[in-house]
Amino acid sequence: MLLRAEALACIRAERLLFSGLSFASEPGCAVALTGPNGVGKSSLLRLIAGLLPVHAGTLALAGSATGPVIAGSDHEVPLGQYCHYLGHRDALKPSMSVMETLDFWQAFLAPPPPQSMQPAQPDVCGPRAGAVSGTAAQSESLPAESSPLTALSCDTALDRVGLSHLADLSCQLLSAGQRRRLTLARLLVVARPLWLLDEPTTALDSAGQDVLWQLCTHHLGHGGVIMVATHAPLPVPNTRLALDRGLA
Amino acid sequence: MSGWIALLKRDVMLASRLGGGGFVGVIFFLSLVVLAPFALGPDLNLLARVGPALLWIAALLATLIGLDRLFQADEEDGSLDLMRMGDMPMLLVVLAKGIAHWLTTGLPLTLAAPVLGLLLAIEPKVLGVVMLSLVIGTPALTFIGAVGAALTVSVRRGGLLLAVIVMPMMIPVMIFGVATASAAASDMMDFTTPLMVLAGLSLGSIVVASLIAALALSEAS
Repeated sequence: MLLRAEALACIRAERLLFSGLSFASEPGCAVALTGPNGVGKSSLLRLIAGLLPVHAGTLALAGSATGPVIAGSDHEVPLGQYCHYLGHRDALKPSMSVMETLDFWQAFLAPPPPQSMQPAQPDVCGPRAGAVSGTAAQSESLPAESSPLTALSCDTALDRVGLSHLADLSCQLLSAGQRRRLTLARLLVVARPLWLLDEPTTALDSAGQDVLWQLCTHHLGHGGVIMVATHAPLPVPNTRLALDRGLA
Repeated sequence: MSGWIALLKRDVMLASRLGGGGFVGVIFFLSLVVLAPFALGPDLNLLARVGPALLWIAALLATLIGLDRLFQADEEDGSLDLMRMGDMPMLLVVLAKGIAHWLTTGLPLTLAAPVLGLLLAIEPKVLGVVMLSLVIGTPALTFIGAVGAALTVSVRRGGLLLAVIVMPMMIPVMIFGVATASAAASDMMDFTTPLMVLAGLSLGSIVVASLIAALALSEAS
């Protein structure tokens, strides 16, 4: 599963955020999206998720069983249903319990579109031309063989993010870090190939961050694609995509 | 389909829990109708004559109460983004949320109407017809209101704006709702005629208003 973007342009409130943006993900590598505040990192993620209109250019998610899925200014197919989007707003309802929340999103977002994942190659992520330059780290932590992405049950997912003891607690009582962990569990209960994470470490303690990067490593190792908007170096293999104002 | 039912169940559950505001509309409906005899005086003939109209006005206002949060609550916490990204068409999302709103507002106030009918000295036969007109007509109020809710989804304190947008569109529903009750009270005319028009308005607005609201919500991002 690979994500490729060509000559993307995004306009928000009649202001050109970026144009001519091209990049491609590499197997087993996350895309680390960096850049100063307000440069359009979140907008790029929302654009890929289909929540903002693509002004120009194309986006392709290749490697699916149904052939490449292409979205863009002259294609109507949004990539949204192949993506998990983890943004600043966590979609948790104060009066619902942790388990009810997870159950609901699993029922609502399932069934996932049929996918057959391509085996990932857990090797080096070379530097690329253009705005993309590569850094590789910790590639030995990827599993040797790959299997298709599978969705976990709600219990297993809660256990994975360390919230199983709070399953019956209402979301109102969760701390910011626990809320973030619960949104991470949502990524696990429905299998989707492309994860779009907007500053995922916000409010997470160091144990929580370890869980997050373990999940990311697992996802990448099973052929998934991850894009992370971040200000800190990523502890998973990644290629860097630096947005700056010169792109506009 | 299971996703659609999950959404319907979630919205009913959220509305019926504390802070969900689902039954606030019904309580508002009760207090409005209870106030009327005090304001109008104990003239039973007058109350019986204006009673069905009072019930309908109260039902309309009570429906408006929770409507501004119909989509806004989900827009503010990001749930609506996830719903836009899912493979369920926005039309079905609007339909599920509209039906959940009706189940927690329109249906309970229809069930509360007979109790209030006694306060307003409405005859039992007319009261039955008023209930019938409410159960058939309130879905139209909910779904017409959903258009306003979708248009004002990103407007802070958009409740009043919503009322101004949707009230003119609710006038036909109210005219035929009250006409049904008046026809039943007067015995001069068959009440099924205005009831049929009301049913038509209701079915039509469920389809058309859902489409418009879904379009507005997809464009809102």
